[in-house]
Amino acid sequence: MPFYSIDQLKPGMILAADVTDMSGRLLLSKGQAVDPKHLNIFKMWGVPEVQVQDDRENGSEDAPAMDPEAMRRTAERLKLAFVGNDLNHPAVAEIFRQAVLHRSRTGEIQTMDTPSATGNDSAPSMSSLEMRQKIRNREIKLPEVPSIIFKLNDTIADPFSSSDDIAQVISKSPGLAAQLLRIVNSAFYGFPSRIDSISRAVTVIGSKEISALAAGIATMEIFKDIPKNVFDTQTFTRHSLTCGVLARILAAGGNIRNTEQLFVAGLLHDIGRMVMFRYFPRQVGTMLAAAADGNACLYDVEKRVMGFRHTDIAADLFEKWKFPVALSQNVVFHHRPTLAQDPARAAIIHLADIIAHALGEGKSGEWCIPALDTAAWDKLRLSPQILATIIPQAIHHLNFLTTIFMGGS
Amino acid sequence: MASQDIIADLNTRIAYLEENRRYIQNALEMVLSLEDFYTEIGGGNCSLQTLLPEAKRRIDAIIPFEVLAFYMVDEADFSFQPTYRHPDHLEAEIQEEVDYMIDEGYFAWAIRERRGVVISSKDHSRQYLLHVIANHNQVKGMFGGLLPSGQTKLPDTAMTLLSIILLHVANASESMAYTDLLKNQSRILEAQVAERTRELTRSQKELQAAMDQTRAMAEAARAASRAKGDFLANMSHELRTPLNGIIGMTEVALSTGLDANQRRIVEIISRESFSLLRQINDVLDFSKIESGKMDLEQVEFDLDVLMEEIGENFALQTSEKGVELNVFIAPDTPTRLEGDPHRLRQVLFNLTGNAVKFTHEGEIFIEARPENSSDGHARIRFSIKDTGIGISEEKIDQVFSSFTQADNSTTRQYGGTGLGTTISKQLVELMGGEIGVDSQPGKGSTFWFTAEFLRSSANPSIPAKEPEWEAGTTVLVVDDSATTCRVLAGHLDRLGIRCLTSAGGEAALSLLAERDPVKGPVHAIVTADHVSDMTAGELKARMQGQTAAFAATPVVLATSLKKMVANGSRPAHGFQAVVTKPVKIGDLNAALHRAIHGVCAEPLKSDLSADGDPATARRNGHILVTDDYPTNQQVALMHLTAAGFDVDLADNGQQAVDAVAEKSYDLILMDIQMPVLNGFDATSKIRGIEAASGRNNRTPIIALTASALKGDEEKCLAAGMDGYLAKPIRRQQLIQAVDHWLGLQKRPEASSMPQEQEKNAESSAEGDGTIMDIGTALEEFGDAETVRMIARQLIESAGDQLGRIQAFIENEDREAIRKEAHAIKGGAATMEAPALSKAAFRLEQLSTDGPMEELSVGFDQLKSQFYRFRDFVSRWKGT
Repeated sequence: MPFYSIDQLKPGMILAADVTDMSGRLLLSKGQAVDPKHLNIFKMWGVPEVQVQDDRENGSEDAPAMDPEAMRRTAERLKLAFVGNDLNHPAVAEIFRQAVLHRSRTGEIQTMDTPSATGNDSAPSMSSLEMRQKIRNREIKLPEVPSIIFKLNDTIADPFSSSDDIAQVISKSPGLAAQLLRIVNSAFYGFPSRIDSISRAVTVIGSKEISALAAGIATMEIFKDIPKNVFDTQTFTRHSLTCGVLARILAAGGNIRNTEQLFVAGLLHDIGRMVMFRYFPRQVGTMLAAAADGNACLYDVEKRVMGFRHTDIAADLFEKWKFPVALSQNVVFHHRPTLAQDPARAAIIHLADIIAHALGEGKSGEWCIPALDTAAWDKLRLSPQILATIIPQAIHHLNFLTTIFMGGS
Repeated sequence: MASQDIIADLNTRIAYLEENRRYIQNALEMVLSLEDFYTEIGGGNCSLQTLLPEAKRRIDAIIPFEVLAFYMVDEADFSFQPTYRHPDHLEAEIQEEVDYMIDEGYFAWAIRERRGVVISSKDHSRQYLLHVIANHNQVKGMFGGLLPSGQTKLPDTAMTLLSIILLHVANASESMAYTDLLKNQSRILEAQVAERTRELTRSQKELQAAMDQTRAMAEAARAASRAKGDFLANMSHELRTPLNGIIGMTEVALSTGLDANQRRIVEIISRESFSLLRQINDVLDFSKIESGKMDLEQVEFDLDVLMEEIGENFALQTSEKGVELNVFIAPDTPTRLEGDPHRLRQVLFNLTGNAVKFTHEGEIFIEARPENSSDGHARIRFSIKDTGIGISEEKIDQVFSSFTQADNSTTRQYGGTGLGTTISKQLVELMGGEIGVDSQPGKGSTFWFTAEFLRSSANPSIPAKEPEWEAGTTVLVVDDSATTCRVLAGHLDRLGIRCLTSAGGEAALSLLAERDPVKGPVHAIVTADHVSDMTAGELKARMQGQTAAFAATPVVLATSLKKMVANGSRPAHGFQAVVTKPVKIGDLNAALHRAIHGVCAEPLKSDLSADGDPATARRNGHILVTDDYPTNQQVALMHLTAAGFDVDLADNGQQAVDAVAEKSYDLILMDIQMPVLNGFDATSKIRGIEAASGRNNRTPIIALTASALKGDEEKCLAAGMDGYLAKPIRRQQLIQAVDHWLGLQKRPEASSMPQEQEKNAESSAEGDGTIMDIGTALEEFGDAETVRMIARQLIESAGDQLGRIQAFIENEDREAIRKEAHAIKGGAATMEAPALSKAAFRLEQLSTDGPMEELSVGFDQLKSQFYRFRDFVSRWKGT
């Protein structure tokens, strides 16, 4: 069944699927005929496209019919990854279902993260005990905050700053500005008309939002250089992006304001890992090996091996770089959202991370699907059915955004 | 200077901050006032039309929008509808801008962003602010406002405040919707509750009405039942009283001068009245039982005695019909019982009566056997088996149902109400038993029933084993009825006597021939008077002739009553003892004693003359006894047949006349006071017949008169009679008179007799309160059984009479009272029951002119004497 954009819709067309708004409210049900009033309503609610019945088609242009056997195999394998979760929980069940569908459709087979055997060949420079100690005390020097980020955060914090100030800061880095503009003009943002300048972007989207976005993009950029033998940056970035996109869409669907911050939080949720990969390559190798093949979750292993978790490192980093507290909270507590200052927002990141893992878009080194905190889920007051609409949306935007992120390097 | 710049800078900052603080304070207070939204809603009169202007008022405090509009989501189709626009006159322009925004997608963008967004106007000259109105649940609407000219954005705090206000609008709108929903639900619920309450009330009323009706119906049923009971009680009296009157009057009428036609008519009336009385009694019994008013007595009685009574009662009828009657109680049956013997007797009577009615040949066997018994209780099974006409299969079900006999034709042929068996069923059920019948048409029927009794601790009147007989005493029973043999064998067994049986004379003889008289002696033979191949007499003769050893063996004759009556030649001669069938164990015992041990060596009833006529004196003659009172009939019959005469009975003068017309008699005994046709009229009729037929011999007619007054003799002679005997009839006098009139004896002093009789009558009247002079009675009648039989006959008649007297007293019919009392007096005297006779005599005297109160007293005394007599007889063991 073909998708028609709103502009292409003509009165009299029959819907091939329900049309809902972002939060899942049913606007018009499948099988109904579209009339001019409906077109207006669709525009009001910002429905991007609808599926329409087309009698002329003989074959289906849907995704190729899925092989039930393949699906079963996928499901079996995925079950192992879900071992920490209760598959009876409606949300978990829906995530699992969507994951199986998605993986079967894309033909992606999650392979266990094979540890790079090379991670262990160079002899440690320090005795492991010393290293441990150092790591425990977190004496490793984190990189200095890049000036642009510093300036951005400063501007955000300054009550007197104006949108022009922010625009100026961003414009100082053309690469960043370009990336930013491409992002805000994407369907992800869905602004009806073209935004051609940062200052316009600031006006339209908001200064806080733009500066947060800029900071996020810049941060990702800093830690891009992870040795290939330790981890694949591309796949890591994809995972981070997936989480960010999902976070933003979930926030929108849950009527949460200031979705930008959540997008950035999602983007940076595993920044701690990036730091680890960059600065503790040997230990990372041990960690990954220990967690490999279904032995344990990386989240538990890293604590054992390193003495701290990736969220702890992230906390240190955000503090050093003077990121907004709210952002920091969302990232630091994305595994234990109920402990955050704003549990609902942390829960968004938490959920987004789980879905991203389940879908298998990108890798973070963690092979097991993090356990869903049911209290956090309840706080969000989402219905599991919403996941069925959000995930396709996210995937839809993900590919485009990935090119922006990767390409900008 | 640098520090001055710094200070100036700081001052600016401070001023800014202070202003900011003031602004914020105001803003916070404004936010607090948003509380009002909800108090409005609580009032219930709130609508968006009142809410939105309130919101605008607060928004004005933040930003002075020149133009603003609220578009709220229509829940029906999810379109955004303009709900409040300001100013009104710019509505069209506002709508134009809004449509543009929707088209371009800025509307959707604002929804997605969930915050205030600034959009250029269509012509890009001005900036609009769009802000979604939403809470965490849903998007409720959209707010749009035109920013003041030149302004391109809102300060953050203003934006935040606007967000707060619009959030409150969203919440309030939601609250309103919920309140409305609640109100609606509440209304629906109320309606439902009201409806349910109505239904419940209706149901309750219906239920109440039904209950009331039921109560009324139950009450009506109770009242009807009570009325029925009362009706029954009254009916009992109401029906019988006039009926007794009718019966009595009919008798009176019959005793007056009526021509033949009238007599016939009145006889019919009489017959029908009696029939009606029987019917009424049956119906009343039936109703009584049905309405539960029948109570059973709980008295001690002896089953042996009761069963023997039944046998006795039907002895005559069955012997007349030639049907063998046997009564048997199985050996283990408990016989001393507590229960209602009258009702038991009623049932046995009814069933046996039916058997007798419908059986013309063969036998009737009444048996009682125990079904189960414990220490205190006995359940007895009674069966009446006959070889009668039987009942067809279709009719068997109706036997016990009300108001039907098996066949309407049988009702006509045999008479009866058909209620008898139904009442029997009811009585049996009252006695805790069941009743049933097995029958085959042409073969016979067996009626059976069970009844529960308590066992009385008294000793049986007939002991199980009398240790009187020596071990080894052996008796041979000869009878062609197997049942009779069985019954006699049972009796003998109870007496401790060995029993041999044979069904025929030849068989008996050969049996005797085979026996060793020393080792296996036969001490006596009991034989029926006609076995299949020879008479009893022949058997005796042959026995004596055949075997010398058995020549001296005593023979007891078990004869039927009828045979005893009909056999003119040799009733009891040659036999050591006679017993009548059905044979009672007591009789058998006594007879065997007499036969074997020679007690009362000479055969019974062969010597009737006090003058000591030889035992072998035989008498011959055909006598007609006419008396309406059964007791008197019985007495005469007994005496005469014992004397050897053939006796016919007539109930009244007319029957006597009819009998004479058919047969010639040697002598006629004629009562005077009789219904239908009295003695005088009957005599003249008979004389008339005699004259008409040209018979030369004039049959002597002897009057039997109860009133021995002088003048009566003349009257009798004048009527054509030859003599009279005074009642009560004494055997001796009777036989003497008969003998005389038959030319067998010297004529006794006729005139002395009445005086004697009178004296006797007086003495009996003056006699003490002796209930019964047993010695004399035994002498008169020969044996206890006969005495008892006749006494019972008297009791039955007298009982009816007492009932009639009761009615006569109420009607103050003195003549009727006198007649009844008179009859009872006679009967009692015959029975050697002086006290009863005296009481009856007193009432007879009172009846003529005594005051009514005294009459009642006299009647009560008569009744009590009667009860005494009755009780005496029922308890008398006849020893």
